Amino acid sequence: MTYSIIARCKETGKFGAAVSTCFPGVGAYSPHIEANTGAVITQGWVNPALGQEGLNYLRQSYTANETLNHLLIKDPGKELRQVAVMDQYGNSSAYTGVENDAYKGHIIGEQWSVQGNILAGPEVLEEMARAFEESTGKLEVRLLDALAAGDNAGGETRGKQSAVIKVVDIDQFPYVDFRVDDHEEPVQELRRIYEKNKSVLIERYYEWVDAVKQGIVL
Amino acid sequence: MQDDILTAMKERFGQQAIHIREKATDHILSSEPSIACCMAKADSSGPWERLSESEVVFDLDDFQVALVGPASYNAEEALQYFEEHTPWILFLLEHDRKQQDDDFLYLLMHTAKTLASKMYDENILEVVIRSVVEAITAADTGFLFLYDEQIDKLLVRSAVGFRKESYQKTRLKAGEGVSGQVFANEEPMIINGEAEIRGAMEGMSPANYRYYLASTEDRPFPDCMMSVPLRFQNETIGVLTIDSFQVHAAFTKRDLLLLETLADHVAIVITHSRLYQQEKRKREEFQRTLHALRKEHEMMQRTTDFHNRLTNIAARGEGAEAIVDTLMRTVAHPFAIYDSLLHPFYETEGAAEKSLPENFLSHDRVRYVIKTNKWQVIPAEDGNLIVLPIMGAEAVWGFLCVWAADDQLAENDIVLFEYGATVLSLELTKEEAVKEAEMNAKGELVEGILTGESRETLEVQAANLGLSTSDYYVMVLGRLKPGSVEGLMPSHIKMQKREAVQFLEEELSKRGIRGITSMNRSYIFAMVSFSEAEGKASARDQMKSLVAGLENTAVPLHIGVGRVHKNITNVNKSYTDAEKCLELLENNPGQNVISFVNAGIYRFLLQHSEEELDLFIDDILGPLLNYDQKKNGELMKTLAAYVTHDKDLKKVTQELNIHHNTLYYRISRIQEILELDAGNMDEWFNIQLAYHVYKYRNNQ
Repeated sequence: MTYSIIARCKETGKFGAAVSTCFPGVGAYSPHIEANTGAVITQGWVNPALGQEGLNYLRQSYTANETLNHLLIKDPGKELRQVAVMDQYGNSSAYTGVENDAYKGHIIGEQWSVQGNILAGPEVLEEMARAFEESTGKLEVRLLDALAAGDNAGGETRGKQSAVIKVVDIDQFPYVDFRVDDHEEPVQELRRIYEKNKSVLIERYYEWVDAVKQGIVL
Repeated sequence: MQDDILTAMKERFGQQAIHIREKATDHILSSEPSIACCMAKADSSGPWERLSESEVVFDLDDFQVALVGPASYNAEEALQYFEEHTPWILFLLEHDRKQQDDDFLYLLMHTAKTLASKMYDENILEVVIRSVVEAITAADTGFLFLYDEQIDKLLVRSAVGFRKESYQKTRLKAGEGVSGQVFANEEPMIINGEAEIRGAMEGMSPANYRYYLASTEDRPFPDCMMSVPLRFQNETIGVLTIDSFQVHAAFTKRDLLLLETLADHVAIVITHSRLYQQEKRKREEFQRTLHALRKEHEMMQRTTDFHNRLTNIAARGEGAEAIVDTLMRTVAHPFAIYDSLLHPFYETEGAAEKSLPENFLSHDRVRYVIKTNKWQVIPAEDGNLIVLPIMGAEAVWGFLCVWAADDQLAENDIVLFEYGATVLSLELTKEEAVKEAEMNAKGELVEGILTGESRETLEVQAANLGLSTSDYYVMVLGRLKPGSVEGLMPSHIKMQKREAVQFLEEELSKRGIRGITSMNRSYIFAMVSFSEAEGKASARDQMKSLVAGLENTAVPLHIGVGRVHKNITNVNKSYTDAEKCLELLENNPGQNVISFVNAGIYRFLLQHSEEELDLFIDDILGPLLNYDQKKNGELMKTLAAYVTHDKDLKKVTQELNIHHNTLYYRISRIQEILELDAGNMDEWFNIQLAYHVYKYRNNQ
């Protein structure tokens, strides 16, 4: 009941993810991302504990494949879920459980993967992948482009309600972290929130982190 | 030597100090550098000038001399003295300049060596500022600023003589304060005088100004400062700012030159150090990546190798056992393969000590495996049990069960197990299809015989299966007991039928009896043949032995055995016999096998139609049954006991739990109703026979 993208910026090494679903407050459950570590997305019949467990594993330098196997073997409900993992090296790995409803699937690309279930069709994932590959600029912009492409291609058949985008840079200091918990057009709303607030929160990010760390004010 | 000459000169006039300044180079030579002089203020209007009570400056062609001290002397005489000693003084100046050049070079070399030797130290930035402040004699404090691209500001990365907790908060914009200006303009600055320095710093932001003041130790502003950009390949990476808090201290052009020269070196060292750190990080990253890559490669190699082996096995048609054998060689975990009824198909040595959880097939996770055709893990005390489905043509054929004490190994191997199970599924499906085809061929022959197919075709088919048409034939039919298949999946039923076929095959082979075994929709069957030459009696004997063996089946099976008939075309008669035996078995729950020749009275009953039998019952027992029905009586029941116990009254009263008087009464009523003469043997036989027919029909 979700479509999402997980990616690593080739230039900056930042990890990011964006998710949209027909369920309130998706940002509370997914994605799990940590700077210099990687990212984990769980969806379908979501199991948020897998996210943290995945990060714990990735932190020990395990690859995406190893981490995914680790999560699946621990999870009796694996067939109800979709899990996508990206490791610190930028490799991604994904699993779509057989009990997710159609259309379901995932596409793995170079330092990104898109995955979804209860989708209008394969074109949702294909469009997301195309949009991400063709988009240029900051990772967050490319993620938003991918999410919008999925939305425009029909998104989820049951409807839409919430969305989230996260990009991490310096550990413990949120970089791009916006959520729409309940909205008729969550993907568009997410873009609006990003555009409106990026100058305050993102363009002065490093200054803010530096100021916080040194105990000075901006 | 130089000090001696200067001392001699000052003492010649009883003064405290003498300073000589070379006009061309501004180079100053002092007997007492700590005693200040104001030579620069002299206006050169005369050959000598008294600047204060204690200081007189003599102006000569190439140099100035300042005498400092309270004692009086003749200035004209002093002037003359200096003029006379001009060559000496010039020599002295040159000597000192050379000495200073040597010092300069030494400082440069020394500092360069220190920095080079510490270049890869983590605290290189502290080493830099300390070395620079040490190299410049007049300096006592200093800041090393580096530009931070992410926040577009200059940050103090190390300092000497300032408080870290304050200076580390400084964030200078380009152009802000002295260091900010030097960074922005990429030009060095030298400021002597406290007031001038204070003025130059006033443009700083209030916060930075405050952090600066809080970082100073004794007083807020130094007496002199100089600041130079750190440049490397057309890029300014930071600023070195050096101060002196000594009273009246002043930096010379020579100091600035030294600082600039050091700055060039420092810029290289810092850039190099950064590249080194960056390279070190990258190396560590590469190491991690390499490690991960190796692990992935190993995994991939194992998977590929496993894949190749299995592909070869499949290509050579080596079968399921070869597949399992390869799996065993590839993975270290104990594992076992069971069919859907949990009969072991294969077990590794380690697996023999293991056991499946109780009620395995009804375990939630196993049911989930069957539902989704995907593996599941059952947690156990001594590690996990991974259950992978092996798929048959229509449903789950069985399970690959892996006991994984080590989670991580299992995580790595799960792909291999999945792959192994898949290939095994395909192989077993293939083997199943081959068996099916064989069975169909046998089944077709039997069907052909039963439907009266042409003799020629039958002969060809029989010959293909190694049978001779003129032999003696017996049909053995089997059917799973009705209660035994309830709740079973079709695949389980099929598997049980297979087992039954196998059982029949084994029983024939044990006795060296020829025959073909198979199954069709209705029955599991064995068409048994005996050599024509050995005769019918031999065939019957062998059949007796076979029937006895068939009793011992573990499969829940009813078996009916027909009579021996000559020629394959007559096997349909034996088939009918066997079918009748199966009918009988349905009404005799205690029995598993009935052979037509041993069927006793039933054998005769089986040969009559149901209508005929019912007519016979009605003729003999009709009045009694009607009576019971009308009166709701128990006379039929009494007659049954009377026949069964062959007129033994005691046994009858015990079974019916009635008084013997009651029994006498009932028997006389029965005789009346049936108009039976108890002494007539024929009549009594009729009653007995009718009762058996009645029982037979009612059980049906």
